[in-house]
Amino acid sequence: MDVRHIAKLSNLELTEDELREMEEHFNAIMEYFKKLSSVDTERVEPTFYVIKHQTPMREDRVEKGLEREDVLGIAPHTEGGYIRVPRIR
Amino acid sequence: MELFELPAWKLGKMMESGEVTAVEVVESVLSRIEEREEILHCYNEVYGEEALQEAEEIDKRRKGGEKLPPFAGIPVAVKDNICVKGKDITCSSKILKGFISPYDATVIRKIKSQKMIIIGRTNMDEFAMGSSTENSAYGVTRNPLDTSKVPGGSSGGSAAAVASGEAIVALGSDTGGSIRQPAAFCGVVGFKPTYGLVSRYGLIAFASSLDQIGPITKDVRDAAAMLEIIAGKDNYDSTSLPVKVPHYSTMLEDDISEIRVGIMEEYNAEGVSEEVIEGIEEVIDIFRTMRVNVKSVSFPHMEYALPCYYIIAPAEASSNLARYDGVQYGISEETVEDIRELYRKVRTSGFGKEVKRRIMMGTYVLSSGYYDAFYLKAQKVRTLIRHDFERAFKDVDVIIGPTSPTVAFGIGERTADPISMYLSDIFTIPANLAGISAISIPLFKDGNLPVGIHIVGKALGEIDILKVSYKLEQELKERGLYHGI
Repeated sequence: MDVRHIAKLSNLELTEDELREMEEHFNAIMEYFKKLSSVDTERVEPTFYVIKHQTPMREDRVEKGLEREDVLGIAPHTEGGYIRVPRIR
Repeated sequence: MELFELPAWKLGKMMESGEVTAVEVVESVLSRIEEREEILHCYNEVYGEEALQEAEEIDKRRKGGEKLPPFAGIPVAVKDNICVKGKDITCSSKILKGFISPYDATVIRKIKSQKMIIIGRTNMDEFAMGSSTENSAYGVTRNPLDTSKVPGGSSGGSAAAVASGEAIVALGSDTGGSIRQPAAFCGVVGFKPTYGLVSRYGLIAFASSLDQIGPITKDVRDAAAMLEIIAGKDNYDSTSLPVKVPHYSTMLEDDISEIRVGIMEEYNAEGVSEEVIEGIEEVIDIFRTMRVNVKSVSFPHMEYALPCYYIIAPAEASSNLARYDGVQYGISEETVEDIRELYRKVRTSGFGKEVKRRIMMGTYVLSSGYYDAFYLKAQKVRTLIRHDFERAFKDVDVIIGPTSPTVAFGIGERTADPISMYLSDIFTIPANLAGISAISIPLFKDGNLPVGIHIVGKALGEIDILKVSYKLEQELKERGLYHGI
């Protein structure tokens, strides 16, 4: 397994030592997960959610949301009422 | 008896009758914090002054003849992953440093409307990932019963606060056992409600299909009362169930002869310690003496619950935690070339080891080529685990077993081996996977660390669980197996 690639997909940078330890733990855990392959799941439906998933509709009425200042106040960088981000490329 | 030792229902009555004031109750808890907090570290922050001000306000209103809710003035500790407006919230992670909640979680709105007093935010495993409260960026919490032991986790701060009298009641969250296992380790009561009974609005998400908020209390009566306060349909959580919340606390003393009690056959499986097995056998004996017919029920898929959980929960977490990117909130970086570098830098310095491990596990099991083999397979096994419960609940109404295979273990004992840590949740995880309700109540024997007795009920089977555990609590008192605090 390419732990380095998974770290990249996860937007994480790991040192060589961390990668080595992660790989060791990962392999042990994945070995443990293999237990599942012995279970017969032929014709078994998956359970993604335990309750029937619903998209409840609400009345179409304007409600007060969060205060703009409260929300912008927690962003690390703002400018002119917007959140500022570094260059996107 | 000091005030901080008493349960909320008793303190509530004493305040109502004028025997004590809210200020006296808050002062008692704050003095306990003063005395014990340096060693225990239950809290990431204590709101001492504000709590006293609120208590004064409550006393003034009571004196003025106003009728207040029964829990008005009761100090409640809140796990540091539940939003309280205007307060810091960290999930015990560095990545959320400086984040101030712009709103109240629904459960917070509810406890505030009862005039309960939030005394502080409690330590936890980072993002609720852990079983010992050792994975906190702000230091470990110690078990008040034996400070060389862990308090369990991830709601270890909440459980330790209630057990030590640093709070009267607390809120925690439970994704795989994070309320029940620390309650077991610290010798208090922990309740995980049916999925959807309590709104998750304002709970920082770990694994959304499993997370549920619940109370940690000194006894079953308090658990029932707290559940009544926090439960109910909420328009801000589309998974919250449209049910009328029963008055649990008025039903506790009802007759339980109609409730069919089951014992989980696997309670003495490999890895379960001798004292835990003895604890369960004690409970079986109690029910036999009460002439309650106890039936053995088996869970053929029990051994698959743990790998199943450790695929599903990290998968959901890897997606939920993608939002911590240094853009909208939390810590950030000044000198970066582009946004990708910002993401990487912030996440690398902000997340702790276990969180990184879970994000990577989740990313892996969801990645193309592995999705079917791991993630989809786990969701199918989850169905089989649900079926195990459905089958069992044809014959019984509640199922008794251990909360954890062992009593509280030593600090540092399991940190090097993640699987050994994961194993401490082996009995609690199935209830989350199936979305059903469960409680842990403590059994104390011969001055040893307590054993958690786990009672699992059906979906919305809260009443049965509470009645049976109330009865059991009374019987434990009779037999000298009850400690109080």
